Amino acid sequence: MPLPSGIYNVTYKKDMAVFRTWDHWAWLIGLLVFLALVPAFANRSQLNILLTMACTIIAVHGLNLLTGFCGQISIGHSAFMAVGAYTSAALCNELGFSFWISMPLGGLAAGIVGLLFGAPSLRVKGLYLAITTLGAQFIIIYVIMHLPSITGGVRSLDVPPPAIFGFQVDSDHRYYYLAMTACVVVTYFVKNIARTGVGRAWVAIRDNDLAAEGMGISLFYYKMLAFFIGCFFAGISGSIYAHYLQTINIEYFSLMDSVWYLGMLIVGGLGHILGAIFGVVFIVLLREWVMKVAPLTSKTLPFLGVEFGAAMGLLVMGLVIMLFLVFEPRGLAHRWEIIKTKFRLYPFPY
Amino acid sequence: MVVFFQHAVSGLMVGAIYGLVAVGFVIIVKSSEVFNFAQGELLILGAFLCWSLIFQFSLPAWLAVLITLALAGLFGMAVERFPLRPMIGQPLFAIIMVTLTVGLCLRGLLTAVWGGMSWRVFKPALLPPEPLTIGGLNLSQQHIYGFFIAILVVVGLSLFFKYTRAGLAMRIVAEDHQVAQAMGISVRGVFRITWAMSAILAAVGGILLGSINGINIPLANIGLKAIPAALIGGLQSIPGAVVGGLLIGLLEGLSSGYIGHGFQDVAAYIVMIVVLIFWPHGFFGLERIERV
Repeated sequence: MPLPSGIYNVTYKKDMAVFRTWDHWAWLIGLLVFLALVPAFANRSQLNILLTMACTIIAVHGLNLLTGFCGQISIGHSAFMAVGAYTSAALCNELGFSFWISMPLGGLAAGIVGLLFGAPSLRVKGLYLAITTLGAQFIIIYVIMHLPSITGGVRSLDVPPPAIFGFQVDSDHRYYYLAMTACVVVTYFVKNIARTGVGRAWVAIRDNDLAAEGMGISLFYYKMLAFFIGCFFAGISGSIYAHYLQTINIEYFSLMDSVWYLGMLIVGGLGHILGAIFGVVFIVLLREWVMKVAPLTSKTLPFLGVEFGAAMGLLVMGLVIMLFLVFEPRGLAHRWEIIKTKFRLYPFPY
Repeated sequence: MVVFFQHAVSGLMVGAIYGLVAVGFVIIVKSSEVFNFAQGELLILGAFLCWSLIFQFSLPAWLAVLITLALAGLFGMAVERFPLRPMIGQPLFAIIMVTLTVGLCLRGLLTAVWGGMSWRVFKPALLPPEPLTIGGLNLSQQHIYGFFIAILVVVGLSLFFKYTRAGLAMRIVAEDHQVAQAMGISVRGVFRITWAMSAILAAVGGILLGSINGINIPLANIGLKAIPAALIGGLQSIPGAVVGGLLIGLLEGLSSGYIGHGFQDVAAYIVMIVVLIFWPHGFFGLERIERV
């Protein structure tokens, strides 16, 4: 990837820099200002979409660390979100904790459960591990369903909105700032974890675990760390999502959601921080579009039947992810790099 | 004691069908190292096709079953052509995702054609429904037929692998793609046959399960129950898959009988995780020695 003109990496520090020029900083500040101003001119449904995106991005960042960087496939990520969501909700409901304590505790609980299900990764890997995490999905949801005194079982559970110094964060506008701040902070952390020694160790394990072990990387420690941090972010995301909706149900954390999270990573680009963001934005917008269009198709084309609307979501999303896998396996993040390079070099071909 | 045997035997009977579906997983893994997460959807596809042919096109049952198996085979070949063939040589994660998305698309398609949650029941049943009483045990005749058909299919399959040229070719491809190609065997051809066979096995399982319990879309999750069966047995072993299937069925029968409804879905996974910790390649799977 060519660098912007006038940039020479003469020190290691410069080589690792995320923001290389002043206009990079300008773009960042512009983006943050934009994110801060959005609620002023967004309507309720747009805000709702942005909030969903912010929560999902946090979870997918976690999955990206675990699957994209460390190479440990997890088909149970939404169950870890459920752990965070229900822990946080139960702490608030039963013990009267404030959101600011219960959210990290929810993340911690999800991380610890993640360690439990990550433990088999010492003995099994690849496909076998993927199916162990699939088992985690079923086992966690089963446990939540069978603790009705705390979690409400199959019924919905009410979650109180968070408060800050007596100031209730209960409207969408107020909650937007909370969720978006969390999303930005998590993105900052994830980007930096990926750049440090831990991130490099994970990439080494992903590319060849035996070689990594030969280089002195402790597989046990780094795999467990990946499971802990990945699931921790899932728990944080689940907790923030639960307090946003103010009511949670076991239905929100299904196997299908875990598959969508993996799909978001594929569409965005596995092992790119930007990829997680692109993937979430793309898939959430696609889902909104399908939900708008699907009722219309059954109305305008009645021979397709009433069920077609429900089926279309699955068909379109499945097909999009499949086409990405076959034709653009490195995802939108890779395409973005190519486009950026084109602009950088224009009018020269290279 | 009679109650115990009742639960155990009816569990084993259903387990044979899981074994059948698990064999479908295993033969694809053996030949092409692809783990097919869409097996459950292929299973209900077969069941729905058969149901439609019998009750909507009013074909005789034997003809409908034959046509279903043929269509399932063709569908398997189609899935192999796209999207599986372009994925040859891709990393494991991409292949897992591609079969998952095949499952999603298929689920969407089935919902569009046969409609959401409604149950379809084979009435009149394909297999005689009256229960039998053998030595104090009440056994559904359908389960017994299902059990023996499943066992028969698996035995037939082992004979096929052992004594036919196509079976030999498939065993060589399972061993080593390059060697197979050097011997003049079309690896693609073998992949195609494997997928067709796997889809047909799924359809047989689907028809059996459908004729016993009726079918609806969520029945596709049964494919997820056959996964622990395949893993416990070891991913490379056909007898292992059958043993795994029987074990999962037994476990399901006993746990739903003694612990409570709903636990049986989880029990399979708990046992699978424990087995994998102690036997990382399953009971009969190949232990791979890896080097850098």
